[in-house]
This record gives sequence, structure tokens and C-alpha cells, in this order.
Amino acid sequence: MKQKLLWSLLLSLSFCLSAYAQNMTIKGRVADSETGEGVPGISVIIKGTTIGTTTDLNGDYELGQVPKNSTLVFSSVGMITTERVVTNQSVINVSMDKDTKLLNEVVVVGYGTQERRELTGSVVGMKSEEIENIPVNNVIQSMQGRLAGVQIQSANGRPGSSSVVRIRGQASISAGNNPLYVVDGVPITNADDTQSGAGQGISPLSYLNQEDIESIQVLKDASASAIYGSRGSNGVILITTKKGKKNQKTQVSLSAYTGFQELTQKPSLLNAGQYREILREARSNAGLAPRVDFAEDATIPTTNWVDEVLNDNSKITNYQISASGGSDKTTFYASVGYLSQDAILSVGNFERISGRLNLGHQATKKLNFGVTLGFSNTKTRQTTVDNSIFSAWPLSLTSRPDESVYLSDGRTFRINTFNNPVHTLTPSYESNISQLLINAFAEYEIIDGLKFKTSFGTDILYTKDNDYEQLTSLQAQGVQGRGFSGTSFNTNILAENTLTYAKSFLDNKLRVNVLLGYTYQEFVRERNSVTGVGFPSDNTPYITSAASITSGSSDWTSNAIESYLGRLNLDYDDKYLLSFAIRRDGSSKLVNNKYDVFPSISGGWRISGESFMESLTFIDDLKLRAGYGLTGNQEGIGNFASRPLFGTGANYDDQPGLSIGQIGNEDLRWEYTEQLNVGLDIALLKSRIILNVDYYVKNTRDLLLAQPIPITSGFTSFTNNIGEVKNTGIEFNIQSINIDKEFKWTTSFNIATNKNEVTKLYNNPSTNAPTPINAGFVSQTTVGQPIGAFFVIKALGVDPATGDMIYEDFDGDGIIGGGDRQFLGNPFPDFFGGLTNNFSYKGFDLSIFFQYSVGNEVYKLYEEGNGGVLNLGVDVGTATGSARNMTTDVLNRWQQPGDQTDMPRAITGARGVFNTQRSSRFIDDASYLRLKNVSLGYTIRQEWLNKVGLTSARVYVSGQNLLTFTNYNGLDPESSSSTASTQFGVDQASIPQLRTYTFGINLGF
Amino acid sequence: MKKIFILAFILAVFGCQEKLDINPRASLSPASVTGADAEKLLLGVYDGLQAGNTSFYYLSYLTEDLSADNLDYRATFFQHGEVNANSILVNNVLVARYYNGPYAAIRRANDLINTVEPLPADQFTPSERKNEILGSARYLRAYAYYRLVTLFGGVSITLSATTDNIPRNTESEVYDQIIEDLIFAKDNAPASTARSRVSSNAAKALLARVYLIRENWTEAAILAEEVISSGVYSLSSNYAGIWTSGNSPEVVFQINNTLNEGAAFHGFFLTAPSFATGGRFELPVDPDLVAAYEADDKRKDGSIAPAGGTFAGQFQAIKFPGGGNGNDPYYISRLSEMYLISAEAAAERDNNPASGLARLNEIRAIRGLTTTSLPPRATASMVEFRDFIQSERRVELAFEGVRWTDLKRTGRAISTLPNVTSTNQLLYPIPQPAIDINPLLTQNPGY
Repeated sequence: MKQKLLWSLLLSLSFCLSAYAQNMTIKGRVADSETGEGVPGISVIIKGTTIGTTTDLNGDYELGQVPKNSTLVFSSVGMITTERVVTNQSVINVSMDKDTKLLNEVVVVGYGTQERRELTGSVVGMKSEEIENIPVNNVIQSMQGRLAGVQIQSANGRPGSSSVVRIRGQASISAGNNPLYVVDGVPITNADDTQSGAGQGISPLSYLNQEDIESIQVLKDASASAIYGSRGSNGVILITTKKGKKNQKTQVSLSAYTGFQELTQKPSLLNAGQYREILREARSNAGLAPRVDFAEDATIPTTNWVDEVLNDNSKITNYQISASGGSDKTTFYASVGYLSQDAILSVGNFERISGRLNLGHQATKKLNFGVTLGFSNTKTRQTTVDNSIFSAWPLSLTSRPDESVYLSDGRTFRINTFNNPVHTLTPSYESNISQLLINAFAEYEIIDGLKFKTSFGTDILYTKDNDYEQLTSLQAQGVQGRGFSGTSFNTNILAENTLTYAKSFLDNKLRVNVLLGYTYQEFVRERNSVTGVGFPSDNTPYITSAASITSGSSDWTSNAIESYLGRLNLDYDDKYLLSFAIRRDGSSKLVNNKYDVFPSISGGWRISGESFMESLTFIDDLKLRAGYGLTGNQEGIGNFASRPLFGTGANYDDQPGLSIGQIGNEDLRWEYTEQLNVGLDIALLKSRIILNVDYYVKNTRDLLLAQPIPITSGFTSFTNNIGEVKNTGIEFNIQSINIDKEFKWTTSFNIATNKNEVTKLYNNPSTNAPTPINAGFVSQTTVGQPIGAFFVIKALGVDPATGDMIYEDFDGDGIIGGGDRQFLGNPFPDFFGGLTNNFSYKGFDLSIFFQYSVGNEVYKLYEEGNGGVLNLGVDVGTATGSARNMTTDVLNRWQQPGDQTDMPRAITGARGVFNTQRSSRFIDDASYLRLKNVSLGYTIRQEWLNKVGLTSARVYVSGQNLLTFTNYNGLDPESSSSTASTQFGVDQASIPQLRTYTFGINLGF
Repeated sequence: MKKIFILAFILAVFGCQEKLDINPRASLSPASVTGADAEKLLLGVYDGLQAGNTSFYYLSYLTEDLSADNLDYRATFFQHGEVNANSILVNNVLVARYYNGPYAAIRRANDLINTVEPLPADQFTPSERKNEILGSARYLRAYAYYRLVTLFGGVSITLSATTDNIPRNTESEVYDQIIEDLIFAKDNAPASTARSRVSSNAAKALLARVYLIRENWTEAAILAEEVISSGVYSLSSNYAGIWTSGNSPEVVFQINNTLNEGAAFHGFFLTAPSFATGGRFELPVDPDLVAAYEADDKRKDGSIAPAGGTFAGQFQAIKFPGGGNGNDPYYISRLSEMYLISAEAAAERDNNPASGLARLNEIRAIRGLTTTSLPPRATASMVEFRDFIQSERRVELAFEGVRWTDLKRTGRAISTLPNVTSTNQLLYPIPQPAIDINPLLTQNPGY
């Protein structure tokens, strides 16, 4: 204690001494780190005093009587406060960063940026620090649970596979529900061009290196997305990559992580003894004699097929080196990245090499230009789709545990009752995809405030598939090997010209922002493919060695969009906000309704700016927003679907023929969504608490549906704009800084609801009733229900007296059949969201992120029937019939009268078929709460780093999908074998999500 | 500088017009399809009757034999079971295909006829080619209506491209349309050509059958004799070879399904796993047909074979050996049918069995049945003769899609088929979806 006092005395003395020693005049300029331009109105104060000045219009300042070794504090609303120690220099130039937090955060919106407090639409976003270091290959997966109203679900645990992204529900039945993705201003090609169909497909978003992303903004409501017109109905996701800053020392950073992966959930399956016991029981219950091949045999070893097909050394590794910086004229960001992720099966991986160079240059005071350039090469090796008879994963659940992988020689695959899962893994299905994503612009300030910008962007995708099924593979042994080779070349070119004008009037009280623009975008895809069979050797897998070419094709398709757009933003006195946006789109996909206009209007009232709010000092911001607008959807309209066409391929006797191929509908229009959004933004206690609430009603009309027509036309239907669907919901988001001391704790929580209801379908003129649309196995879309609801007979449980299932005779006809089907669930959650808690203390940081979904159901198709894992020996009634393996759930089966259970008895034959038939027994509530990510890091203290030349260093451990809390008793509550809304949430044994443990390091030089 | 940018902006805004006219490169707009494409359009009509591209046809070619007593239903598609049991439900999806399929071909034929008809003949080389094309197209349209009328009765007739609701025509109106088309085809289609293409003789052959159905005995006999005496075709002593040789002189017209287009799986559904191309044996041979073959009849071994394996004791139909390759043809008319039509029509015309005996015995002789083994037919009654000619047609044309119509036109369906107890069962139901869409359609009685 004494020592401390002494020290402080000494310190203060020395301070005083130096203060007396010298006073000087300091001059300098305060510039915006991003634009390099001087910033007026910055306060410059000597720390600990009230002495100071403010910068002038050019950002210059001059301050006299500044003691040497004192500290100057530069501050302003909307900028991050910066301090500089005065040493000997008389000029101190400062480059200040915009305060990107909270109210003054600059938000990327369509064709421009806005400060958050000026926003009148519903926009949510994420920043780079929330995206980096998450061990996933697709940036979409790191968005899951983070953004209110943005529902993201991974359909399976295959690396590279698509996630389902639904912004405010599903507005379309047949025309697609994917949002528009815009990367650095270029709407990208969101198409999986792999052709072989062997694997589960690859999401184009996985070609993007998420470590290069600076921010993601999601435009949710119509007033935000109407500027994207006919492509705005499903919301817009704007992805902006990192850029350098002006006058910034070059910063080099290196980050790397590596980790291992395992299944979140491993099924529990019967062993050989249990399996055979059920088979014997199934025969015995049907009054059949025992069969020798199901004899009780304690010596038979159990094959654990799941372990046989899993990769017990499944890894993920990521490296990223980037450099960024800038002079007063030029900025740059450059990076190279490498990601490698194994599949969880013993075959399969995802590998991506990416590079990026983003440049900006201020050529003259009025002219600046820049380019963003991203390249990536993605290689995947896949396994067969999940719903094939050659899919290793589902087969591993159902293969007989009393059969072995190999013959006694230990290497020849045994021919088993069902395809040997390990044997199905032999073929190689490889895709190699290169993406070049470029946007270059030049911007010229014509007069003060009036800027013209012209840009040219392109997204070029080159996709190459090479498949080979070996001579001895199960898939192609009958044809002595099969090879497939396909290429697809997809070019997407964007030309854009915009004029923007920003001006203040009435003493700077009225701020006006005008945007006018023209854009043209063209998509062209050319493909070719060839399949051959009959190979002399597995070492000659190219088609040139094939004995016969069984099919080959090449095709071309294209579409284009031409648009004019405009936006007017008015801000009066920082209180009254008004925004009009309009876009006129023309699409090559349409004929008679080629052009249409998509307008929106929105307004905001910053109540906190009113004088009557002044006394409520704890309220920093209170803004009421409302918006209404019209957007469209053309994702699912085929490039030439609207035209009557004579098709080729109507060949006869191997001679080329022509015939009417489609009747077309030249009056086809876009699907239109009218959306109303009302929202409230509140910031309290110096923005330590921020609340956002949004309510929306989304009415979509003119849904594309097949309209039946009399067959005397030669066709049974044509596509027409018929259906209507409604989505309504509430979104709530809260961010709080709970403790802001040396120990810091912040929380963010979001929750959103969405109610989806089909309100109109094609009305049958004879019955005057809507025509329901069936899709997949159990899903039906009809009026009054959400899209793709589960339509099955209702299971009432197991009869304790007989052990057989009881079903509800819904139509009362005395028979259980198709007429008894009812709507008994749907795959969409009632509400969903996430909860993040971040803690930091000294150098340590801890982030705990939960993600949840409540009220969604899954239909477990992989459990039902004789092929399912709850088959209970239904197929063992004949002399040779066999049964697939089952999960240990069947150990709980009914065995004697009086047993109370939900699992019927093991029995073969008609009764078994009755008991295992498709019904609500296989629908399960798949609500879950998932500990999605935990990350614990330590940032090494600066003084230690200086010695080794580092500017920053952080090490961390992280876990993804660590825990799942759910009552769901299937494999993974997130599973869906189809990503289409009309048949979502039906699981045909998709590979579950992966749990990943990683160790990583971030270094700055 | 300023001016340049403004200029660039203006240019950019107005420079990209007409870029939205993007046309497909695998299809043509209707406006660009003209009479010059007539040959291609004609191939397109043939394609409409194939198994492949429209996917409508599926097993329609076998449905007459299944409804009648030549085939049975064993497994998989219960819709086939309904057909076999002669109790078809209105939502039978296979029968819906049999109803929809011909209309797809009719649409194509109408497109062609209405495109080519107004053109001057000198646009074609030689100028007769115009009517040859029209004749071929009208034959194919007639065949499509023939398939509809024999299964469903009077159906809606359309001769143009329209999406309007059209009411049903009477059976006799449909036959009149068929006869009109076939007469034109007989007079204008090429005199003779490859057997996979429509010829004048093909039109005569089908017209002879239609006249037989309409009991116009005189015309039926004349046309059948014209085909026989044309000299283009000849009977083959190798019955089994008709199905395997690929160039049998007996075939007047067949619709081809090549390996490239292969999707005709009638062979695959008929044959058993024991067969060379290993089929699914979903439609076994009716035991009643197996018993119908006389001893020494070459047609037995040429038409059916024991199914073997787990299906021991049952027989499989083997007229379509392509199996899973999907490249078996549909035989529409063969010369032997002309002999049988001639025999039946002449006897009926004269009400005298003797008028038909010569042609009948020619067929029997070449199929390995000596004429001496014949019962004393010369003294037989017309009743006996009718029984005899129908059993001859049955074994000669088994699995070639004529048996059901033969039973119906001769009034034998109820007496022959145990499942058929009402005349209502003689017509398939109009598919319910078609009635739902077009309220002008009436359902057949009994459904």
C-alpha cells in the first residue's frame, strides 16, 4: 500500500513537471479513415481538462497551450473516440473510424448505405467478428439463429450441402423460396450446376470464403427489398467483403483453426441376437414355424454398420492469410484462404482454395474507382444421395447386424441381403467448381453531392463433374463400370449505372438523398455431359475407355433482367423520415407481361427527437417505422416456361422430329408479394439496451401453379398465376451490454414467429373446391394449411390387448385407408431464434451461443414400413424374406396382453404391414434448443507481443453443435431430405449434423 | 469530363434495349415452324404414339389382352389388377394415361394437318409428297381415335388445337371420323414403304379392321384382299421368327421403339426372370389362353413359354424379346390378320362359312396345322364358323391388342369373361380428372 502511494506520487509529480516544462501549439487534420476526407465538427480536448476546440469544415484544427505529454481526445457523435499523446511533434493528423456500433452504424442497403437511425425498413445484419472462426464451409450456416426472422436449417450434415434459408416464411409453392444473394453489388448465380446427381448437391454460397466477409445485411421487408423488384419477395441478403482503409498501416493477419468432427447423434441399433429374436417373434406371432436362418446363435458377431461407414478421423482445417491497408489514395485488402472439411462418412470431403483482392483508388478529388475480385476453387467428393438404394448412411441403419462386411478373406465384399453399405462407398463422385466473382466500378462527382457510378460485375462458375463407378461397385457391376463426365459453364454479367444526389436544405434540416439507376443482368448457362459403360480397368476411368456411350447431351439456356430503379430518402430534422423506392423490371422469362413496376413507401418517426422526450434522458432513441411495398419472385419461372414452344427430341425411328412441346402461357406474370411492416426501435441507457420489434403481413398472390386443361388440347395442364399464400409474424430482437467494466458481458437474443397459410389454389370448376397439391410422400398443400403440411392417417396408439396399432377411422367408412388422412403437423416452427452471451475479462473472451426452434415437426420416413428401422419383422413371413435392422426403440415393443407401450408387436404379414403403415406414429415434435457454438479465447497481452513483432494474437478453442436439448427421438431434429417447401421436413435418413471441436489462432503483424 | 459521364449514363440507359428477347435453342417458336418442317412434324406424330416421350402409353398396348382372357395380373400395379378384373375405378391412373395418350398424338397430327393443308403442293418435292404427308398424319390420327373409341366408346373429337371444353361425340361419329381419315390415308399415303412408316396398305389394313368392327363386311373383305394381293407382304412359316428376326415379311405396319428412344417396357413386364432379358412377369399369360392352343400349333411356342423358377407352372408371353431394353415395337397390322379378316368378312357377307374357309386354311397350314386336321368346316354352321374364326384370331393375334375389341364386337365378352356381367363393363371409365376439368364430359354408364 505504501509503495503504491509512493508510486502515484512520483507519477503525478513527473506529470506536473513535464506539464510545466513545455506548452506548445498543435495543428492537424482529422480525416475519415474510410474516405480520407476531412471531418468537420470533431471536438479536440486536452484530456482531463475542458480546454479544446473543434475541427473546421475541412477537418483542420489548431490548439494552443497544449502541455507536452498530455493527451488529446478526439471525439464526435458517430465516430470512435481517439486519443493521441503529445510528444514533440506540432502536427497531429488523426484518422478516425466511424462508430459502427449501434445507432450510427452504417448499414449496407440496396444500391447504397444508410445509417441505422435513418432506416425505415426492416434490415438485420451481422459483422465479420460473428462470422469468422466458425467451423463451417458455408457462411449461411454461421447465420443460423443470429438474425430475427431469418430461419436457417441445414438439411443434413454433408459438407457443402445446401441450407434452407427462409426470410419471413415461405411465400411460394412452386417458384422457389430462396432469397436473392448479392455479393459486393452482384446478384450471384444461386444455382447448383453439378449434373451427375450422384451426391446431394453443393450450395453456391459455399464457394465464398466467409473469412473475407465484412458484413451481411438481410433486407426483410418490402420497403427494403423493393429496390430489387421482381427478385425481392423472398428477401435479399447483401454480402459485403472486407476492404482496406485509407491512411492505414498495412496489417497482415493470419488465422488458422483445425478440429475434428463427430456426429451429433448416433443411432442405437439392434445387435445380431436382438435382431434375430425379433424375427423369430414376428414369425411366431403370425403362427409361422421358426426359420433356420434366424436361429438363436450366440456365436454370431454383430456388425456395427454405422461404425463401419463412419470416418473416425473426420477433420476440418482452415487457414487464412490476409493483408489490408491504404495510403491516402489507395486502399487494398488481399487474402488467400484454404478450407478442408471431411465428410463424416469414411468417403467424402470438401476442399476450397480462395483468393481475394479488393482495391480502391482515389484518382482525383472527384474520381475514384475500385474493384472487388474473388476467386475460389472448390473440390468435393460425395457419396450417393440419401434416398437411394446405394446410400451408405441409410443402409448402415438398416443392414442386417448378423451379416459381415467382408468374406472370410477379409477383403472381398460380402454380398448381403441388402446392399453392403461399405461396398456402396467405392465409387468416386467428384465435383470441381471454380468461381470468379468480380465487380469493378468508377465513380465521378459531377457537381457537389451529385455522383455518377458505373460498374460492371460478373459471376462466372465453371463446374466439372467426374464420376466413376468401378467394375466391382454395386452401382455398376452389372455394366462393367460406369463413368460420367459433365461440365457446366455459367456466366452472369451485370452492368450498372447509378446517379446519386445528396443535398441538405432549410438550414441543413431537410436532408435529401436521391438514387436513380439502370441495371442489366444476363445469365447464360452452357452444359455438356456424357455417360459411358463398360470399362476394361478401374485405372482407365475416363469415357474414352468406355465400350459404349450410353448418353450424351449438351444444352444452352439464358435469361436476362433489365431494370430502372429510383429511390428518394427524406430526413427532416432527424425526426421525420420518408423513403420511396421503385423499380421497373423487365424479364426475358415473360412474354406479354415482360415489364412491371415494384414500388414501396416507408416512413419513420424518431419520437426521441421530439422536445417532449427530452426529459426522458434514459431513452436515446425511439423510432417508429412503417412500410408497405410490392415485390416479385421469378426464381422458379423457367427461362422459357411462358412460351408455347415446339420441342426437339420428338424423334421417331432415330430420325429427328418436332412436336409441340409446351402449350406455354404468354400471359404469365411474376408472383407478387405485398408486404406491410411496422416496427419499433428503442435504444436505452446510452444505447446499452437496444430493442427492435417488427410485425409483418406478407400477402403473396399469382402463385405459379399447374392449371388443369382438357386433354383434347393434347396437354393436361399449363402453368398459370393462380395461388395465394399469406405469412404473418412478429420479430423481436434485444441487445444489451449488461456489464461494461473490466469484466464485460453482452447479450443478444432474438425470437420470431411466422404463420404460413395457403389462401387460394386452383379451384376445380366441377366441385368448386380447391385442388390440393401432393408432394413427396406425406406432404400436401391445400387451402387453410401451411405449405407442405403432413397429411396422414392418425395413429391412436397400441392396443394393450392385441399389440396392434389403432388408427382413427376419420371418414367413418369402417376401413383404415386413404380417406382417413388428416393434417397432423408441419415442418415449420412456431417460433425460432437464438441467444448469444459474450463475456470478456482481461485477455479472455467467452462466447456462448444457443439456437432454437420450437413447434416444427419431422416425418421420420426412414422408420416406417418394411424398409424402415421400426419394421418389426414385417417381411419375414416367406421362406426367404428378410428384415432390415431396427433401432433399439423396438425393444420396447408389445409382447404380451396388458403391455402398455407405443411400439406395436413384432409380426409379419398383413398385420405387420398394417402396424407399420404410414401414419402419424412417425411424426415427431422436432423442437430443439442447441448449444450451437461455444468459443473461449485468450488475447495475448500487447507488451509480450511487441517483442516478437506481432500486433495482436489470440488463441481459442471452439465447439460447434455441442449439445442438443430435444424430445425428438429420431436422428437429428434439423433433418430434411428435400429442401423444397412443399415436401420439407420428411427425413429419409439424412446424415445428422456434425459436432465440431476446433482449436484456432489469430495473429496480426 | 462531366459531359462525358452524363453522355455515358444516357448511353448506358438507352443502350441495352431488345436484350430481353432471348430465345431457346432446344425449342422453336410456333411461328418459326412451317410447312418446310412437315417431315419433322410427321416424325413428331409417330413419336406421340411411342412409349417414350409422352410417357402416356406405358402398357396401353397390352390392355386389351389384359381386359380379355389372354393375360392375367400378378403383381405391383393394382391398376392392372382392376383392368384384369374388369372393375376399373374412375381414378385408375393407368387408364387415365390410356385416355390422355392418344390425344397428345392427335394434337400433334392436328398441328401438322392444319399447317400443311393450306400450302400449295408445289412447295413439296415431289408435289405428291404433300398428300403423302397428310395421308400419313391422318392415318396416325385415325389410329389414335381407334384406340380411344375401342376402350372408351364415343369420345370428344377435335381436329384443331384448342383448350376449349369439348363434349363427347357418339361412338358412330368417332368411327366416321376414323373411316374418313383412313380413306384419305389409303388414297394418299405412300404406296409402300418401310414397315415402321405409314403406307397405303397400312391404311387399308386398319380400315379393314374398322369395317369389320362396323360390320361392313363387303368393304372389309375387299380391303383385306387388296393388302394380301399387293404382293408386298407374305406369310412366314417361322412364326417365332416374326418377333425375333426384325424384318418379317408379315408385318404391314408397326410403331418402332428404338434402343435410343427405348421406353417400351411391355416385353419387360411380360417376361419372367428366367427369360434372356429377365423381365418382371407382372402380367402372366392367362391359363385359358395356354389351353386354347391346338396341338402342333407353331404359335404356341412362338407366343408363350413356361415362366420357370418360382413361377413354375405359369406361362410368360415372349412376343417382345427386347425386355428391359425397351426397344420392342408395337405391331399394328400383320398380313395374317388380313387373311382372317378376309375369311370372316366374306363368310359373314355371304352368310356362308365356305366363303371364308380358303383364307382360314392358308393361315392354319402355315402355322403347322394340317388342313386335314380340320373338322368338316365346309358343312359347319355360321355359329360354329364364328367360334372357330375367333379362336383362330385369338391365338394368331395374342398380345397384339385386338382380343378385347373382338370379344365386344362379336357379343362374346359376357359369355367368355367370368368377370364381365354387365355391358357397362365393356367400356373403360372416362378418368375422373378429365371430367373434373371438363364438365361437358359425361361418364360412361355404371361408373
